[in-house]
Amino acid sequence: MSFDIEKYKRLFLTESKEHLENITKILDKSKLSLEEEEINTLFREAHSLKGMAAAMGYQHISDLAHSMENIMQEVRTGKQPFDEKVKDMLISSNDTLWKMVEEIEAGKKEEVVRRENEDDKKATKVLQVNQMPGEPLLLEISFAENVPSVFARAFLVYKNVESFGIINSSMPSIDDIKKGSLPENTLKIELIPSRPIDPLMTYLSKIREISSINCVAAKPQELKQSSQPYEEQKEQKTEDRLVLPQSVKVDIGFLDNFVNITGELLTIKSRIRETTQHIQDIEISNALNQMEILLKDMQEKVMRLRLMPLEMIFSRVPRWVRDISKKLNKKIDVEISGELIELDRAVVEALFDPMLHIIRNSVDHGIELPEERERLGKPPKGKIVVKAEKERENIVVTISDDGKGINADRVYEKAKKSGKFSEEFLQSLKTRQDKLYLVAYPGITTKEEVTDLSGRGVGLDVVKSTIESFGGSFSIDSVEGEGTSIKLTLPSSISIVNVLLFSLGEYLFGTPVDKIIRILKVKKDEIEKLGESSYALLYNDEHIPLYFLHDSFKISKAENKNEYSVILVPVKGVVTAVIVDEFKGHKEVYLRPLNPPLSFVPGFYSSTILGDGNPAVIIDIQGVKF
Amino acid sequence: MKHKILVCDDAEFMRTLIKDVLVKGGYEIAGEAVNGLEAVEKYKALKPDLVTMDIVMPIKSGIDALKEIVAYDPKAKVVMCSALGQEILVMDAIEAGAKDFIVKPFTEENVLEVIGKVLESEF
Repeated sequence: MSFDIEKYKRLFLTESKEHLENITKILDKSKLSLEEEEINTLFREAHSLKGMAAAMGYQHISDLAHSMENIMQEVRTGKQPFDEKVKDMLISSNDTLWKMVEEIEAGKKEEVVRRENEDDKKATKVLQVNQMPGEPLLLEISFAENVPSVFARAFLVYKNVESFGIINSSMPSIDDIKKGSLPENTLKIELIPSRPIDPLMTYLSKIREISSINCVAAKPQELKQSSQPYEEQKEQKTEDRLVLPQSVKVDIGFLDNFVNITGELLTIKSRIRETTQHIQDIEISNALNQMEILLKDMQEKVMRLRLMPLEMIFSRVPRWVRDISKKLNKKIDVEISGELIELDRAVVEALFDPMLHIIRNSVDHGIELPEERERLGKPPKGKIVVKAEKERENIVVTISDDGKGINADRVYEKAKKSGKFSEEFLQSLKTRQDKLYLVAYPGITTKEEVTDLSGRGVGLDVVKSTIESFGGSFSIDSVEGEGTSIKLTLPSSISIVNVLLFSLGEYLFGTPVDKIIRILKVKKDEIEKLGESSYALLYNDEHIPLYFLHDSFKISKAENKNEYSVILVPVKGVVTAVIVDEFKGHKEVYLRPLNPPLSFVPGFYSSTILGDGNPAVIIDIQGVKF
Repeated sequence: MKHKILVCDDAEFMRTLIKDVLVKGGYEIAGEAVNGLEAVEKYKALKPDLVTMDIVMPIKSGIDALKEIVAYDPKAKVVMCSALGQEILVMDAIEAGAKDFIVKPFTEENVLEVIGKVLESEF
């Protein structure tokens, strides 16, 4: 992967310098007006540069080239005359682009270059607005004392001001506002209005949380914060400087410590908030808000440090396949994609064994011998595809083969014969996928002999429970004769989850909100008793299975209540109703690993400590035994 | 003509509270939604003048619902209802297109003021 970038980088550097050279040649001419051909050339060169930079992932070069291209487009179409100002702008942008390209050549990462060149892009943007009337204004907005969520309020005001033109700079910057900084409760904004600002002033005057507004004409660049003029920067570069390594090596244990500490801090912050809730003090609340913003930021950054690309595992797959298929005389091609997607290292580590087992299964039981395949009209070489994709908040890893597949009905029969499942449960399995899911239960194997390579120790049931212990899910589909596909859905960040809290007896539990269809209260007479301990609920004109979650954990339940609290979740594709005692709200909680013996209880997958110091077990309802 | 408002919150208690305040303020309740999914569906069906949206809701969060509503109707006026301590989420919502926000526990005065401001303003 990295080798390729190097090859293209050399090409990029050579070509982009050519483009910049061509631009410089034209701009260096002292005359003010340009020939049509020269204007078109400038446009084309900027356009090409934009494209190349974007392809290489050099977003800032691409953006700046894009701004140049836009200006040239305006000039080309006659909307903007090519005057002194435009020329200066282009020269300055060109210089900046040169610097950026040189820095890439020198191996300096693109990000670092950004701060220094922010002004260029802003200035270019101003030109594009076609110099609407209105000189730059300096707005000074002060917020009253004790405003709840004052940073969000300031943020909203900033956004609204932004809709009236271009914000040259602000104190504090938008990033600082987001981080919870508003010195002296005042927001200063330098705005170049693109339309009359009376509606803005009217709007601002109506905001109760604003105590005063000041608006004066500003000299441009009045709020310059830390950028230096380019000449100074150029000089710095040619001096001999001590260049320290740009990265550090950190021991994993140290990092884990960090993760734990940040988690604890968040928990403690919640506890402070809960205990001071009744005091209703805005100062405390604002301070806690600030703390939360900073802690969450820190946490996010630390969690990012723990990310590892799936490549760590995916890169082994071809070797696994090669080794096993050689022993069995099978011929198999492997296709891998999405290996650059990153996951928390704990998840990647835990994925190793499951993936190895799945691949082994594929090679051993899935792909047929070449002769067999030819006889079936399949290509003699089997194919295993390992793919990782981002799907909203999850990473989906799919492992599929074009082997002999699994007969869903045979699995079903085997499960039935084993006597491990209730008649009802078996009846509820309607689709092929439902039935195939049975292979993830221990003891259900359709292969009579356990071979040396697979079927030993790590079964699909362990794969499933490992995946579920991280809040992920497992699914399998297969068509006999065509192949099998196993899909592992993993949450991309494992530590913070939004859970619905509820009580069962005197215990507190939680379950992730994103798997819940809805929660509701049902009256006694909406519940039908079907048997000893099986119930059904009439929901949307359908009878759906209903269980008391208490029963699964042997917690005593109060029978004969008039009203019950119910959670609707899909369990193996079937909408299921689960009764709990009382809902206690929802919270975002930090997950802690659950150790034995609790971790062995089906459905128990994590734990957390709430703001009041009480623990709660986080349940995955789909893993519960009903 | 009275403005119609869609109230979205998964807690019946909150919905009732907000509805009462709005009706007292002279607004008409276009409808209610108990989760993000319903919020989007009802927005498309009822086309209210304004939406009050709880930030944290099951199935689809208030922010996701907001994004979908704004994608469907860029002029949609959505006001987020947040609890103390959800400031980051509020800022995310504003970036995603929410017009304003109210912080719980809120006063009648506060709610009506924000709703009035948002309905009146052109941006």
